[in-house]
Amino acid sequence: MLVRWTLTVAFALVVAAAVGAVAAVFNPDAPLLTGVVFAAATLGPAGALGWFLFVSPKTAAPDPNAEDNVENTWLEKAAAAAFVDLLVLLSLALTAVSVSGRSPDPQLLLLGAVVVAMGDVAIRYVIAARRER
Amino acid sequence: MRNSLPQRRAERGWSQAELAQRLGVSRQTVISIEKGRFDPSLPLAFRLAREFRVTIEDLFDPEP
Repeated sequence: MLVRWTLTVAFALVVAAAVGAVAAVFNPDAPLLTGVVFAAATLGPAGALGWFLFVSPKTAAPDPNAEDNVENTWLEKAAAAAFVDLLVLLSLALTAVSVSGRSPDPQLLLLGAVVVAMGDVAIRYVIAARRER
Repeated sequence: MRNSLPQRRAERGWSQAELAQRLGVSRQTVISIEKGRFDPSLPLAFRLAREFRVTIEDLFDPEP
């Protein structure tokens, strides 16, 4: 188990350093600060991914009946509906951008899409759960 | 889909939580099946039938 945890920490450090390095290369104005900030922000998610890849296979057994639970159905329905919502929203946004000829900040657009998708799934899941109770 | 789950569960004196544990699913899943709001998967229907020692047709009625 010590080996697996060591691999997890090493994986997290390598991934965080790589992301920090790439960010630094693409931001020549303040490469050191950018690299450190991106590496620090990536360390947590990279550690979680490392745990998922190296530690969890030995410590967390997957539920063999997970798909039989009603909660799984709620999540699948919420995700499917959110996908359609997102498709409509992005289509409308694309139409608006095409007609107006003005391009929004891509970072803002992608962030908005992620937030809408996650929020939509969460809200639809909660609504489905409340209907059942 | 209608079912005789509540009656059969009551006959055996099992709580919803106990039945859920026997089936390896959440208690909410048992509640939703009993209310007829959730149709179980085929493997789960077989496990339910096995727990009550009946056939799937005895447990579930496809008529609304």
